Amino acid sequence: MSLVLISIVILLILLLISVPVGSTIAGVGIIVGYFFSDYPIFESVGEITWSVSTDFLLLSIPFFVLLGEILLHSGIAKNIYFSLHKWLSWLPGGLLHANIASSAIFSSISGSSVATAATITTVAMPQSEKYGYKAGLFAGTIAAGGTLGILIPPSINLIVYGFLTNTSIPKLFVAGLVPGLLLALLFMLFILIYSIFFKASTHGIVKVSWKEKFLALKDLLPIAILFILIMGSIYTGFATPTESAALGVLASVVIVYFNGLLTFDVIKKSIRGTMKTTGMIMFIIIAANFLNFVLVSIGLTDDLAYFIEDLNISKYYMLAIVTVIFIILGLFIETLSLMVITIPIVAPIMITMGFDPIWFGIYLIILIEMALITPPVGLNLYVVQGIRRKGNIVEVMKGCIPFVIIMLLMAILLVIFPQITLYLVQYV
Amino acid sequence: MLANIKKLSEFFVYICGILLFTSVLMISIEVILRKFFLISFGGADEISGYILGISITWSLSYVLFEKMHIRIDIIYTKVSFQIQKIFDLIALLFTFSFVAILTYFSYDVISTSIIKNSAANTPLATPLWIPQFLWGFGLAFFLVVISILLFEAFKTVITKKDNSYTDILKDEIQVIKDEL
Repeated sequence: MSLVLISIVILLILLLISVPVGSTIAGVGIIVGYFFSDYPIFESVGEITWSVSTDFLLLSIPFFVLLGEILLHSGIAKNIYFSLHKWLSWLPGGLLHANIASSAIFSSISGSSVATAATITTVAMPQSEKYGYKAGLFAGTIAAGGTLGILIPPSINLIVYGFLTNTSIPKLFVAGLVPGLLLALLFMLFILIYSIFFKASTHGIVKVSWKEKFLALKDLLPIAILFILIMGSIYTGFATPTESAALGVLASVVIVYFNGLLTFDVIKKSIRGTMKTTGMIMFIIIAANFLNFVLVSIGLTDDLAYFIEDLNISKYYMLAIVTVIFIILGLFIETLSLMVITIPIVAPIMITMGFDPIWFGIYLIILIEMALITPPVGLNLYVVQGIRRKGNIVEVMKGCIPFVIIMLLMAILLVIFPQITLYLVQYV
Repeated sequence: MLANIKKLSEFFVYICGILLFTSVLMISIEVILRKFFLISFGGADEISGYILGISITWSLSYVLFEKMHIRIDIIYTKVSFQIQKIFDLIALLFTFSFVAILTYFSYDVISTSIIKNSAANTPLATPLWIPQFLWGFGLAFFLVVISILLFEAFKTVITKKDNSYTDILKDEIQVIKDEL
């Protein structure tokens, strides 16, 4: 056990002195492997890195990122917002619903909650001033809405979870669908109730004619086509997740072309954005793969599993401990890094204790979503604040509180009714 | 010199992009032919795997220049300028050691493939050293970039001068805004 503690201490120290997360993970692997292994452990690092960096499943990550970048830079994403605005503005809370819905839709297709929060904030914030919304709650809906995409398929975080735990991606995707939509509905329900009791904006309801509403539908069409194409091709057995992502990229290029928005500049920006995100994610995954290899080789993973078995605690007690640990770590560590550091160790333990790997993945993602909007390290908070450049970030944090509570509620619901995620999985 | 290397790494990223689009096309054609015409060329997935490997290593130095390698800055933002420089140096040292190990053993992978004349266990029977060499080249380039930045960071610590290439505090939000 002392080895586990040593590893954790090294990990925390390196993270705190702001060594990049990928290098930190690898650094722990190097130190632990060098001092605690009886045989030359690094010999096979070339082979394992080659095989992880050419893994066909992981290719879906750059594809989904590329798809999102193309939609983002071509401006299709902005149109979604205005279209939903027209459809949802009659509800009490008007624009706030459009924030949630467009963030949920765009982040699910783009796979990046940061890009989503950035895009929606840019287009939505001016509207907030125009209609006199409370700035904090308004910003909160965007930050919280942007987290939904990592649960609603296609989701890069679910691909990473599936890769690390060897779980079926199509099953994970379908398992995330209902909780993701349910969470979005709960967010909107909260806004509805809140707006009925407290006025969310100084303006009344904006009237939109039916003709305008139907005309606006054409802006939602691209996303609908892509979603149906990607999900449809996976679930009809037409294509694997990576192949469906490739079809998605091709379709997005075609859609952007027919909207007259395909320029050389859009392609260049999309390539740069995609490679930045891909390089960043894959460097961390390569490092985590390396650390995992070291930990398994020196038997630390097994030791830890035996240790937990010996504790003889009930599985729900264990789940509570893991939840608390994730919430605390989520306050400080960026989400993807958090997943990559913890999943190889935590997931096997939870699965041995009798939790369904698919269910646990979805449960974990909800905790990770929470991490995205909890200070001090909540990426979405900073993105939204950074773009609105007004007021204080504390306003955004306060605006997110109700949504964090709803997410906790959702996590509890998942424990009581695991069918919420698992019901659809049986049909895959 | 740094500016030139930065340009070069951006150029590499565009190559990666072209490779990715190529792989999108290959896979899409393969899927459509397979389903509608029952023809399979095979090999699209294999080549795409190599493309992923090459794209990753070739994009790493661009990611470094764009400061996208995630760092946690809870303490960083609260310490003095001089200590920040030391943190940057340590950060680069760790990145350097990991990438050095990777590069060294990737050389092992490539040379083994050449000596054993290994070919992929697929219909294409790709001689493995070709994609592996390109993949390893990316790692080696990344290692060179880190070495230069490490040298720069070292100079900064000694001379107490500013060095915008290594510190984290570039306005990331501005980067996102510029991209939009």
